[in-house]
Amino acid sequence: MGERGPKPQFINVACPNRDCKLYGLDDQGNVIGNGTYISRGEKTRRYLCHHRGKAFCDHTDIFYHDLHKDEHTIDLTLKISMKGMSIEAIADVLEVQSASVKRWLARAAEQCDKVNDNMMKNVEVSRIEMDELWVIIQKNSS
Amino acid sequence: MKDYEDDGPWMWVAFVPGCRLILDFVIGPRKQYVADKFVELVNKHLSDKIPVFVTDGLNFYR
Repeated sequence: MGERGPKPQFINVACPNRDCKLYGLDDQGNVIGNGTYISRGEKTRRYLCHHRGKAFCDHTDIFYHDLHKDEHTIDLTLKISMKGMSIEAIADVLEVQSASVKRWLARAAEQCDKVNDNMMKNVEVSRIEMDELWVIIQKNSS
Repeated sequence: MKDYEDDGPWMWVAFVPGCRLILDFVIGPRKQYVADKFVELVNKHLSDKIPVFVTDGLNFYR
């Protein structure tokens, strides 16, 4: 035991690398802590997977990974967008660039797709209605 | 059906009326290959039990 108590065990952390054989599996003993750093004002832990030798952190593969803006502003952007405000208006109100808003929305859509793919499996239903609806997709974003 | 309705994008939706769940959707033209892709996507969400598929009586489906 070290001076600062027992070494932390990261049994709840799984390797996020899809090429790793232990991808998504926790409690395999392959993940160790590899220091911490401050990201967007919060302490973030870095990990190392012994199996593939790849490093990752608390934010790897999550929506906010590599985004510089604070989470509150991004969350607010997504909420306002869902209420129907245009991209240009959101950018104006929150004082961010419209390209950033578009990028966050695209990233949120990708993340929703991943969640959907993971959760919507083996659905047992008795009846499905399948129809096609004619939609207008505006070419300009505003 | 008027011609203009076939132009532009269509949103293909698979909907479970019992629990108001949208299983999947595809945006694309009203063509056979989109229908095939759509059925394939919906099939990925389902278990081995095949449900009853209902739709409107468009000739295109027959």
